[in-house]
This record gives sequence, structure tokens and C-alpha cells, in this order.
Amino acid sequence: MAIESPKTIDLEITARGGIRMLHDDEFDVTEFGSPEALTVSRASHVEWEPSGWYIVSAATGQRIASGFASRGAALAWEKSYYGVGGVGWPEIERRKE
Amino acid sequence: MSHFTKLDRAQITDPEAFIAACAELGLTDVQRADANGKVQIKDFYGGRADVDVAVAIGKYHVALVRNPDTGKYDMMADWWGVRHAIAASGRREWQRARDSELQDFLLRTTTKNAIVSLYRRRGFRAEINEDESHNINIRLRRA
Repeated sequence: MAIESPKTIDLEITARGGIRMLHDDEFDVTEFGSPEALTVSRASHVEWEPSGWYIVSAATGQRIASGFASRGAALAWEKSYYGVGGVGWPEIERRKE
Repeated sequence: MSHFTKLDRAQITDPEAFIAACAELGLTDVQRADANGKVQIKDFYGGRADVDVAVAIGKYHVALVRNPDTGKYDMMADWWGVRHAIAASGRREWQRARDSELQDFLLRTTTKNAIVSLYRRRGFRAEINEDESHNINIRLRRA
């Protein structure tokens, strides 16, 4: 029987008192600020091909990972890549929309 | 499938989180508004201001005023006075800082405290790390 890891939510409070994170439905950022001050932008796309699920950066259009046997595995990798401190985290600086 | 979520600047929702942030600066003289009405403090111009929370340092205050439109709180203070009073109390690093840095410290620290407190009530533990640029990373882990 697989043991699930406990739920984690990662976020960053910026030096100026902003909040940044990879979206998580369990954390409502508007509890801490106005919806008008919120921006939500796509980080990536998860797609499928016969060899498995793959991930495309929304910023560059480049494929950044592929060959995942399940969508869940792709999403887990994506969360690690784009989450706070991950390799893709700096892309959050460039996302305006 | 993932989305980046960014809130430009948080708003203060939890007065007790703010009070705890002030305590990190050594400010512990707190007055809270009660059912009988607000706390009165002297404002920058020497007049009187009604506030919901007042934290005193010498003759200066850092205060919270509830915004009736948003339901959240705005900070108000004679920031130069408060900053220099904090420096005079022994925290000399604030002498040369900017007033905006003091505001930023209070806002991010209050936000951190508010998140940790709220999510503790929701069954999470928090791991907190602050980097050299004063960004605060929080990992909430369901207990």
C-alpha cells in the first residue's frame, strides 16, 4: 500500500510584504489581500503523447520534461520545478499577466 | 497546468499578528480598542486619531486602523519618529534605515505571523526560512 506524503504548501513572502507561490487551491491568497492586487499567470502546460506526459514552459514554449507515465507524476514534477526555490521559480519574476 | 499566483502587497487581517511583529522590534506597550470604543493617539500633526490598535514607543505610536471598505487594517505612524525611537532603544540598525524599510518589515512579519497562525488552526505546521534579501519562505505541512 502506497503511503502518501503529507500535504505541503510552499509560499514566499517578499521583502515588501507581497505573497508569491505556485497556485494551490488549499491556500486562498485573497484572505491576505485584495483580489484586485492579485495576478495569476500560467507557468506551464501538461500534455500527452504516446510516449507519455510532457511539460511545456508557458514562458518559452519549450518542452522542459517528458516521458511521465502518469499525469499525476508530471504534475508532481512540475510542482517541484516551479515551486518556491525550484529551478523554474525565477520565471515568476517575468510573468506579468 | 500550474499557475503562478502573486499578490503585490498583503493587507493586514490579524491585529494579533501585527502586535507580535511589533514585539520583535521590542515594542510591547499595546493598547487595543475595546467594546467602548477606539484608542486615541496623537497623530503626526499633534491632533488626535482614533485607532483600533496602538503600540507605543516613547511618545510615538505605530497603529492599526480598520478600513471600513476592505475590512482589513491600515498601518499608521510617524514613521521617522518611531524608527528613531526604536534605534534609540538599542536597535541601532534602524538609525540609518529608510522609513519604508520599517513599514516593509512590519508588513512582511505581520503577514508571516498571520499565515502561520491561521494555518496552525487548520492543522498545518510551518517551516520558516528568511534569506539575505528578507524574503521569507514558508512551507506549510499538514500535521
